[in-house]
Order: sequence, then structure tokens, then C-alpha cells
Amino acid sequence: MTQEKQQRADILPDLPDLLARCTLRDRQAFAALYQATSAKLFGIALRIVKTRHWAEEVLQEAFVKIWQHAGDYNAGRGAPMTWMINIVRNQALDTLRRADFRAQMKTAPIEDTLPDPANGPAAEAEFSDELTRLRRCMERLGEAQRACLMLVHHEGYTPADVAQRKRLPLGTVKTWIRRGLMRVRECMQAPVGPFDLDT
Amino acid sequence: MRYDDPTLREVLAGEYALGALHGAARRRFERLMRRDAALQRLAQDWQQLLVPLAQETPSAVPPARVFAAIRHRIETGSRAGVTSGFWELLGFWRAFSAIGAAAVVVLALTTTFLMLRPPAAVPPSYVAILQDQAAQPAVAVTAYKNPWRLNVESLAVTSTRPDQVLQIWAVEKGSGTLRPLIAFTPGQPQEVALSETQWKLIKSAHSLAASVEPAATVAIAPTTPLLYSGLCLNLKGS
Repeated sequence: MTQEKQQRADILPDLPDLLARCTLRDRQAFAALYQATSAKLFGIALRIVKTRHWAEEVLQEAFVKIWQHAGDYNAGRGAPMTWMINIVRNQALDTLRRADFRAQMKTAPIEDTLPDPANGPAAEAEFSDELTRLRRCMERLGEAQRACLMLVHHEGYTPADVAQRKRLPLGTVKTWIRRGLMRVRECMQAPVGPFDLDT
Repeated sequence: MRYDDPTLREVLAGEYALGALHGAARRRFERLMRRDAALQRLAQDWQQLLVPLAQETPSAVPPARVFAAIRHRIETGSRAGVTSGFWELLGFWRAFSAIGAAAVVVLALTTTFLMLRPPAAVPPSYVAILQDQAAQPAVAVTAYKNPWRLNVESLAVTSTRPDQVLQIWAVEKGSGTLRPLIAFTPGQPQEVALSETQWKLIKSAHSLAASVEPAATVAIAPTTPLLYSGLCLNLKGS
């Protein structure tokens, strides 16, 4: 860990500690956890469900789950932010298939959901190394293939949505997604090369 | 489809983590995971691999009402609804206590009786839920325009002596300067007309606060500690 990173880590809230205190029903710890992570998680929800109203609902449900299931968090299975992001993403993807959501989105104008820049350091710090590697692996994919993966991941689009937007046959999109996933994983599992160390 | 095929399991787990499985396919995969721990681990590995991508999504600060609703739910174990609509927001606070519920009835009866338009047709422009030190909601303040007016309502047991009032203060954005808005006697919901100056105070308020002041004098600055405060939310974006 570089000195700069060490310094950053020192001023960041200790997310594993906050989660552990949540299991002891420590509401102050929960409030601190919310403070440190809600902007990142709200941004993720907003990108998928597209409207603030629904993103607020997603965030609310997700944090109630985080509070109720804090004891299920297993440090051996990833960083706290990974666990929380997956709860939010699952909640958001579940919302997409809700009948009331679909009915409303048919008639509602699409909001400009470009979120206000509010990147909190706490949520960012956990991933920087992995993100650098992942970005490099994604860059090895063709641009169109990478775009397919991103649209599905970031926007919550189905392969059919992507096919329609990109004017591609659905079969092509599905194949790209599958192959893209496999290639990215292969690349991520490859030993870190001498050039990759120099980041 | 054979779910014991390693390649298929790998592909489905990756697609699930990426978010490519929707609707029935997603539900089916979740059912499979519940009875197949190895498949669940596979999906978790994929999620861990892909989760840094989420960092590329810009952050956005959620409104304060989201945390208020979450806190309410974890403290009471209740299932409050979506809180982003204003009336739902008030509904949530009112559900907080029997007194709050009674206030809804009183307000509804009063408004109907006075032949005002039903509240849902006249959405307020600003709202502030003033909370006490223990973060319990105490007073709801809502501001309407055309004409400018303010509605103040007790949400919890707040009472003052007969010679006292609850003075509501506008806390100016940036400077934090307190300016007197109106005096309120807890009990019945109260609607008062606002002057243009008072409306501007609300427009430029970061939050509203309240302190107990003598009824006989016009307060210029608080003479007692602030009891309640809450963000002044612009609901109309104007």
C-alpha cells in the first residue's frame, strides 16, 4: 500500500467495523455506514431504475436489508462494499420487473438521471486496484462487445434491450455477453504481469 | 436444460452477476441457487469479480427523507411505503403516533369544511419536518404558494404554557442566520398567510428550527435553546 493510500485509509470509516456493530444493533454505526456509502449506492440504483422516486425506494429497501442481514456479511467473501452493492443491484433489478414500475415507466417521461457528482472516498477506496485490472481486461474486448457488457451492468438493460438499442441481432448480443464474460474472467485470473505491477 | 453442466453453470452465474438475467430467468436462477450452494458461490465469485465496475457509476446524494424512512423502519419494524411523494412522506410521519393520526383527521375535516381544494390537488412548495434531539418528528411545516401560506402541524406531543409560543425560525442557507418566521401554538394545525418577505425567507432557508418563546413579545432571536429543526425541502424545484 502506498503512503498516500495509507493516509486515505486512515481517514475513511472502517466499513467492516461499522457492519459488525450493526449486527449488535448499533444505530450510530448504521447511520455512519449510511453516511459513508449511500451516495455511491444511490447512484448505482438511479442508473438502473432511471427515476429518483424508484431509486429512493430501492435504497430504502436495500438499507433495511443491510440492517437486518448485517450478520450474514462474510468478510471472506469480499469487501463490505461488494456485499452492499450486490444488495442494491439485486433490489434495483427486482424493481425492473415489478408490475407497478413497468406500468409507470411506460407513461412517465424519462428523467434526466445524471446524478450530481458526490463521490465519497469511503466507497471508492475499496476497489481502485481491482478496478484498474478490470478496466484493462475490459479494454482487451472489442469496443462493441465492451459496450454490451457495460449497458447490461450499468443500466440494467436486458440483452434484448441492448440488441434493440445497438441494432444488433439478439443472438449476437447474447454471444458477445457470454464470450465477453469468459474472456474478462480469464484475464482477471491470469497472473499479474510485470507491466501490470507498475500502476 | 441441464444445470449440472459446468460451462452452463459458469455462463449463467456470470450473466446473473452482470445483470443479464431478467424476469423469469432471474427468478429461476435464484431458486436454483437457494438449493445449490456451489452455484451460489459461483455467482458470488462472479459478483466479486464484476463489482468494481460499479465504481464507474457516478454517486448521487439521496434526499434526507430516505434515511428518515429507513430509520423509522428499523426502529419500529414497520413497513412504511415509498416516501418520495410528499403526501406519502407526511403520511409516514403521521403514522408515527396516534396524535399524528388524529391530526390527519382534524386537518382533513378542517380543509373539507372550509371548502379548500383537496390537499393532493395543491402540492406544497416546501416542507420541513422538525425533529427533536432524539430525531423524533415533532412539527411539520409546509409552505404553499398562490397565495403564499404556511401550514404548521404538531406531530408529537408538544405543548407550551399558555403564555408561551413555539417560534419557528428560518435558518438561512450559507450564513446560518436565524430569522423569525411565525409563532405557533401547538395543538390544532395552523394555517397562516405569508408576506412576500416571509416567502423569501423560506425560499432561502437551509432548514427551519423552533424554540419556545414568550407569547407576549415578538421574538427577534431565540431566547431559549432550539428544540426542533429540520431541512427545508424544495418540492417543486423552483
